[in-house]
Amino acid sequence: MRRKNLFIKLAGILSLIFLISIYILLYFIPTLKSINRYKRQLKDMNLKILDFTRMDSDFSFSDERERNYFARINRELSGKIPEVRSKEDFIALNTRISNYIQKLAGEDGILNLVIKPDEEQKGAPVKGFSLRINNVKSLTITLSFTGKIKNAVNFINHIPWSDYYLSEDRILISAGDILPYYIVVLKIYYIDLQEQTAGVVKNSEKSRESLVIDYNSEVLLNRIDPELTEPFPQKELPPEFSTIIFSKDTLRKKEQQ
Amino acid sequence: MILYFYCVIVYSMKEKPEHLKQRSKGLTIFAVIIAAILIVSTFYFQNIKGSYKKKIENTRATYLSLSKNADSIEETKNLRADFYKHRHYLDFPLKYSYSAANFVRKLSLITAEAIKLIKIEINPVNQGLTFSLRGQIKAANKIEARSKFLQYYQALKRFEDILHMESSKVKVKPGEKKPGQGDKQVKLYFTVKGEIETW
Repeated sequence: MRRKNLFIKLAGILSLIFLISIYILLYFIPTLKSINRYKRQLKDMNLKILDFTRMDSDFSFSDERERNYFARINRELSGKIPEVRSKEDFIALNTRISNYIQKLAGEDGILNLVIKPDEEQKGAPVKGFSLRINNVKSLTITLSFTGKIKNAVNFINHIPWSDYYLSEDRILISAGDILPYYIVVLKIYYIDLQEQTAGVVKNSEKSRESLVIDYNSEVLLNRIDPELTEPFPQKELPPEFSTIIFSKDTLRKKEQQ
Repeated sequence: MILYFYCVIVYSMKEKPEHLKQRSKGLTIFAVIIAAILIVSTFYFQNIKGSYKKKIENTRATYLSLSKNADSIEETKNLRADFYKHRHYLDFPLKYSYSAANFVRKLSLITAEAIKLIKIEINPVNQGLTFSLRGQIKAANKIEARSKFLQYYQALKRFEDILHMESSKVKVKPGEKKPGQGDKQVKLYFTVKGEIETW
């Protein structure tokens, strides 16, 4: 009789524990989880509401002038990036740019200019330009030359003054036998209409990919400042130079005399 | 759960000796307290859940009314971001070439006779350029070589557009003694790396 009672009590306690665990597992924990989820949802929504309220009060919608800026900048950029529809276009572009560089080198007093195009003659896709300009590619060419330091730096400064979108990359200057030796890696941008590679862009330029834009910046809430629409001016370098920077000892002495 | 508590109560009401009756009474009270706790906590949590649901519904209504403008705001923001991006793309080649050329020009002005640059490397980065200078300084002794290098380094530091700069691999090596020359000269080799902001 005693044993039976003990057994019944034990069974009662065990089933109570079992029931409590079932309650915890099936009701308590899911309820806590959903309460936390609701809390997060509410917090997110409140933050978004705060954002919207702030944006609504601070935001200035585009006016006619700003819309003109948007159109002008797109025209400016796409006007500088030529379209290449065929191999002939590609060769013509290369020739035009080579001619431009050679003419500029002549004007700036550059010596022994060698223009070495990319071996593959194939542009690498460029990511980063907005979707309005698709299939932008860059072709790399290497310029090597010698010349007096003043002429060379002026030449380096003048290269992007072209009608084309030319962007200098690595610049190397090393001491030569008589004059310093320069290597400038140049990128030519063009819109490739030969092959449509919409979608995944491989081997994109790192520098453009890593351009970070803060879409939450307050700058984007205000209309574009007219001062910021002005392009960077084509500035000549100040005239003060010294020539002894790379010269070999013999030449230095000669220059000093 | 209800079945369980029903069993407990039925069991406690059964005919039993007095000492067992006392014990099962204790068990019943315990079970009732547990049941009460569970029931109260269930109501409590349901209440919290309900209040959160209500709050979310109210907030969602405000959110939806405010988000009507959000799409057009986002579109304008994207257009503005594109504008700044394109302005940067258009200006950066000019800024970079000017800054790089001007940096070399300024280097030429501070490079004294005893200092010889061996190599300059300039690379573009997002808002500026990085540079690496390798050079050599000739001096009569180690102290003079180091002091000339420090003077040169300080002069470089005074360039207002340099964001940061560091020197590394500064090594002093004895030079060769040439016939007809006095004391043996030493050569200090240095590398200076840094970053410049384009204007």
